[in-house]
Amino acid sequence: MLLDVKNLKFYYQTKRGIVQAVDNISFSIRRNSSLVFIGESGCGKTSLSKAILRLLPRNVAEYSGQIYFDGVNVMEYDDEKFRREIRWKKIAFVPQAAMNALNPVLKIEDQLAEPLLVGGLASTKGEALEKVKEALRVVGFPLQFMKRYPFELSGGMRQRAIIAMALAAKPDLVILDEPTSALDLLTQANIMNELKRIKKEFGLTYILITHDVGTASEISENVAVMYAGQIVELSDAERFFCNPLHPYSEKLLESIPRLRQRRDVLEYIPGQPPSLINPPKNCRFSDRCHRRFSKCDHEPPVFEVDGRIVKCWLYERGE
Amino acid sequence: MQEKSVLLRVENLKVYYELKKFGLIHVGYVKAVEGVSFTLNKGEALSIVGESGCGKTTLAKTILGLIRPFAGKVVFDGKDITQLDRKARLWYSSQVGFVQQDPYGALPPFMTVKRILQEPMLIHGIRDPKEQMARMTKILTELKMTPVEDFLGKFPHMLSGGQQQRVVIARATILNPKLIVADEPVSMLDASVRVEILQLLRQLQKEHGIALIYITHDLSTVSYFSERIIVMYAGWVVEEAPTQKLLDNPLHPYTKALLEAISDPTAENLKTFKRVPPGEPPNLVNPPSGCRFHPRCEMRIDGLCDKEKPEYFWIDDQQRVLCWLYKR
Repeated sequence: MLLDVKNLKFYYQTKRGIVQAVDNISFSIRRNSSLVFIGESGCGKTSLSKAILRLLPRNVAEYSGQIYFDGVNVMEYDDEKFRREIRWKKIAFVPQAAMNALNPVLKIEDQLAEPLLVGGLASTKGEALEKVKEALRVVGFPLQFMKRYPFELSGGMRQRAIIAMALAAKPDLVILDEPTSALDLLTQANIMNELKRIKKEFGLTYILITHDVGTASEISENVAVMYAGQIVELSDAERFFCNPLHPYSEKLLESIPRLRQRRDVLEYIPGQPPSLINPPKNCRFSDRCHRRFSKCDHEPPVFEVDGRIVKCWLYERGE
Repeated sequence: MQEKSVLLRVENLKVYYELKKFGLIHVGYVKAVEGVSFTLNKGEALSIVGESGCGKTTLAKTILGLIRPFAGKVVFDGKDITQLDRKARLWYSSQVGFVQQDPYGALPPFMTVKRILQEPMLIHGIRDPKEQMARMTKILTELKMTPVEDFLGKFPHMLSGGQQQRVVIARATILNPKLIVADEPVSMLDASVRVEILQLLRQLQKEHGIALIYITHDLSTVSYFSERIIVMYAGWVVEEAPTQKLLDNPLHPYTKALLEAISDPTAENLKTFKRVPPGEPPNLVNPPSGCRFHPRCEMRIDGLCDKEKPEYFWIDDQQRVLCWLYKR
């Protein structure tokens, strides 16, 4: 296992109470595989990526659990050690709205060289620039644009630059938080193609975070569905897309308009997710669930069905 | 198509934004919409599909009368709306409704839902509180925001994204318009509520016989939503066809690429690469010569596509395409 997360909790303190953004999440990823987190906005998926990278805001109320990276519990590292050894070198991050994540007053080449110089991965500027060039070549970024500023580039090019920045340090694991959501359709498809190719070529491991199930299916070997701060289903992609287990996953897949297999009536999920401040003690989806029954008044444990994990009372006794 | 059922006719519309140096000296134009023509019948739903920067929002704003076109006509109910005086503009604004992309940005944060919905009625002289209340109750009930009283006193930040978008739709339809222009109405919403909003909008449109222009980049939703599609690229309409026909049999290379780029969620996607054209849409200040899509096109005919602007070729009386490949 490259990454093994156990009982990860990440709560924020706000004026209205404690927001349980990531509540007791456990999962693991093998090397060279990929895991996609699917969920609606506000389900805690971005908080999860921040928690793995330990990019914590000031108002943390609780941050606990174990994160084993390559067998070592990195939660025991202090912040300085984590910053020096793990973040960016082992686990890189492609942030959401990456086009705005670039510093507007730095040229692309300087911007990409900076983390390499700061992290000690290159001793001279020239060496760093060589590495930057290599990374840019990998993502299909035209090298003649290296001396440009971010505003002189299109959205797709900026996104490629950000991906190159994450790859330049040769990490093992890349966390991609909505890598294509702000881009045009054709650019999206192009970037997805690049990501797939890069993964194969360099044997990378991906964690992809997205709300777009179509995009998710492009890159996922495994799928984790998040709802209200918890993982409700964890499955391999093949079985997940044909036969989702959790009622939420089922409805979510049915609500996606499809181009090729047309359905006459689209389903939707009535209502909205619960607030993560004092979330309900019962199953968090039960208010919106179409298969609710008496047991749903208690919080369901995690059941295992043929190697898939599902948090729903329907699957008690492995039904 | 009979002339009397036509609600909106756009004729050879050109919308340019002027570029100025130091705010004074003319340097050029951004040709956002170039030579767009189409008609919309009463009660019909039309989708306009294209990537960002292809001019679809500019087209919408011109139809709404918010931008003055450089040339061409927008004829609504027999009147050219680019030439209206002040009084007629007020009339026009009661005939069209606008559903914006970002509901939170479109709702004033300091007004309650009630005040937001009253605003268009006050402007158009509906001052009787009973009449106002009746209209608000009716529209909110149709949009399934019940009990209505619970929502009227709320401010936009107290509502979820889906509810905010419903308030925007309610505001757009409260004056019983003949046309609604919806600019990416669901792109900011979550997948699970998207369909609900689209269905509500579609239901409203059908029940009241409102014509609808649905602007989107997402081809997978249009088949549930409209009868006809217009595909735009770099300010041009490159293809027009009835929805199902376009999805089953796309003709323009750009339309084909758009369809190819959409992934339906299946596990097979993992193993395949998409065949999409590289590159980005062109700069609209100096668009490429000839066909604007030719630098990215796999099927281009050298010597023709890069030199001469293509013409519309009608495949049958419903489908037209702007591409040299279909020259007879």
